[in-house]
Amino acid sequence: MALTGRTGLLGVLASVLVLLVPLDGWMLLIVALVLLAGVLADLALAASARRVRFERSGDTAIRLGESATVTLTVANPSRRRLRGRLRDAWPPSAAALPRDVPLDVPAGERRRVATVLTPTRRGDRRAAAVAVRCTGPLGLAARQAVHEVPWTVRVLPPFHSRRHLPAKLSRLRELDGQHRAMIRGQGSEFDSLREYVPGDDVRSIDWRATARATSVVVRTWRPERDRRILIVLDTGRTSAGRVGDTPRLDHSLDAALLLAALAARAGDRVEFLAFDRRVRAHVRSAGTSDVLPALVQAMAPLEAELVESDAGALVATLLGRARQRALVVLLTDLNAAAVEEGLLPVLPALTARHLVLVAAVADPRVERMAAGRGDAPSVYAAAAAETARTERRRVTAELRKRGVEVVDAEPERIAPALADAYLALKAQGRL
Amino acid sequence: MSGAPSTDVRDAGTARSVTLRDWVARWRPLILIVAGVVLLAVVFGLLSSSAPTGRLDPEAPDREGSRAVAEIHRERGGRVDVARGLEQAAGLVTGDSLLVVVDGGNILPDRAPELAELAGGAGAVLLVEPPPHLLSAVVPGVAETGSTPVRTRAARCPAGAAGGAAEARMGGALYTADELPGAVGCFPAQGGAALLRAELAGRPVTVLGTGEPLQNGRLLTADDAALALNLLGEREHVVWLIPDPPPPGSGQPVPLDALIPREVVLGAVQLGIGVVLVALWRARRLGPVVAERLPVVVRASETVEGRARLYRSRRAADRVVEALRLGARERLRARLGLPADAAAAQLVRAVSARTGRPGAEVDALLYGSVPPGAAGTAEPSDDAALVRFADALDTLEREVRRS
Repeated sequence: MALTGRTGLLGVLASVLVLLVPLDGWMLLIVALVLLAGVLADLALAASARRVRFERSGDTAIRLGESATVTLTVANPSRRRLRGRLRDAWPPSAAALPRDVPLDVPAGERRRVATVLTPTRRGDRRAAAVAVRCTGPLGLAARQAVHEVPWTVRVLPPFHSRRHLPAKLSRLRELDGQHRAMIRGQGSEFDSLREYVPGDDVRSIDWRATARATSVVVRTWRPERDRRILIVLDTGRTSAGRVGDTPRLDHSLDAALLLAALAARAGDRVEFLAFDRRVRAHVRSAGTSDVLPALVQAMAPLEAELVESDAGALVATLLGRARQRALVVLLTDLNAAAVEEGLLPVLPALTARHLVLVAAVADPRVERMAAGRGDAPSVYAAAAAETARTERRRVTAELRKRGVEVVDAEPERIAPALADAYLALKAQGRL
Repeated sequence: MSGAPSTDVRDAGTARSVTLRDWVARWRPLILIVAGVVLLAVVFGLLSSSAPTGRLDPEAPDREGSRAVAEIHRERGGRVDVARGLEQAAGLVTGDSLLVVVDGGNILPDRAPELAELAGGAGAVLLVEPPPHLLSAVVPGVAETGSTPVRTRAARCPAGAAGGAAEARMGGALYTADELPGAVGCFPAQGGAALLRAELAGRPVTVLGTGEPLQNGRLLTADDAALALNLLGEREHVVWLIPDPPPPGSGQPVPLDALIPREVVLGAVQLGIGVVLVALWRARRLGPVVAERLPVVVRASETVEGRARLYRSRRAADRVVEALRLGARERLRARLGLPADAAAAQLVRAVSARTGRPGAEVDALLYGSVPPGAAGTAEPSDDAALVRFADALDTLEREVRRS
């Protein structure tokens, strides 16, 4: 049960009555009895809050930054009119509005209550509870009950970098056409035969075909398809740091999505793995078209864990899963301690079989600090930032020395930079 | 580039402790104020003697006190004992002494009977400005009728009653004693008398409407002095009762609720019930509080900033210089197309060739090596020098970029 503001107001106003007509103290009792009678009558006559029935419908998945509308259908099966308030409770980061709504459902009818969620972070938002308060006819007291009406809205990564996708796709097509050329690399395969035109590499002339034909025929090659791309996301402590307004993890997810979309269009098979000390998420594409939705679904609930990533276990997992040669894209941070102690010792096992590309999000704040001059605090900060950059360069050099490709870019550039690196590898036929 | 900020120079000195002189210079205004206050307090303390001050106090020498009249009485062979409380007075009063009661307001109503008993044991009683509860307790039958301003008035009463004074500055409270047959009133006004003499159980009781005739400042006029001395001179031994104020909390405490009307109490109870009802209304939440587990998010640059603070707090100029040089050298090597492991001499030569600066200067800036024989540029050691050094490195890089 719950009292209403009207009861409180009457209780306060009654003090004037008691002051003016005390009746030797009996007025106190009279007021109390009248109020009690009103409250009891209201409780007896209010519609049952427990018997209200609910149904939900509406959005189940949205991208971060969008709004979802979840509709709650309230059915009043009782013979009394239901009047009162209803609150559809969601976690704070779901930013559900309105907080509570007035409710008026005649006996035996249904009403809809729409709640708009504008989540502020990625992940699953679960409806916590629905509380309904049915006020009695006098408006003095109400019956209240809390119902479990489950619903989940999955907030997907925003995929901001998809605006880069058209440009990268056209580069890919360009690549396809251009390299239907003579360059024959490790990752290229036979495409077709065509007539020789001046300028073609004489080494690509197919003498056997030329002998059969009347003119000189050359072979053309194209970048090999059906390569394996293994995107590995480090969800350890280094991914928890906030770069700009967003955790490093989210920038990495964005870059991974662009790369996956591009690779899927290029005809490569994409596999995604999120790992810190164990596998957090795993997606393996069956076909090429459905990889992105599956990827986005798998990424949505990922959070950075405050543990040191286990590079040894990661490499063991990768070697166990990918037996054929693949491009392993490791999205992590070029943190000197983590890379030198964790990744470098186990890297040879990985590079022996696969092509490894490490992508890291650089912090623009460190760049700004390094450029700081003018007073003593700025110069100290610049020196600290310079030290950090030097370490980062050293780690990058170490990795490159071991034949690892490194992409190190600021948050706005990381996704297109990674896509470019992939396209370059593909153009070189190194996949 | 920018010159050294002058404020930092003193700060960079080695001595960090504050001398007494600095301390005094800093707090001079406060010290002067405190010294002035202390001086004033001492002066006033010396000026104001330790003699008691108080109206009608027989030991007080100020204008309002009564030391003069007491002293005169003593000179004339009398004895004046001062009692500051009823208990003290009870030990002094004998059947042959005059009991003078001033400041009677300090005797609470519940102790008035004690005073009446005391007065009953004295040879004569002089009540000065008695409050009504003392008046009725000591001299029943005498009533206060009103008051009149103090000014020179004619005595207009039988000789001897006013101590032989024909006129005196009198006034204050006025009394009547219609029910007491032997009572004599002097200095009449508005149907009452400012001085009233009555006989109670064979001993004279005098009620004085104002204590002014007894004050030091009033004894200069002959008639006032005569009145005062005659009032005291009634007996040789005078017990001057000037009770101290009662300690706080003495006297009958009146319970507060007895002063509040019953309806108000009942109304307040109902108001309290109303407030409780409002509280119950507000306290009932519509549904549960929803808790949420939020991921821990720290700024990625936190470690770099922490290192910057550490450098600063340790004043690690050498580390800072080395870090800035390392970064500048790497950028210069990349710009000049030298390999990452190029020798120092090679880089210095290349930079010097591009900018036209002497090699020794570039060497000192990039590697901190002091050319032999030259006085050389000292390594930056304080904050101002660090800022200048960083600017100098930037200038060199800019020159290489532009050339």
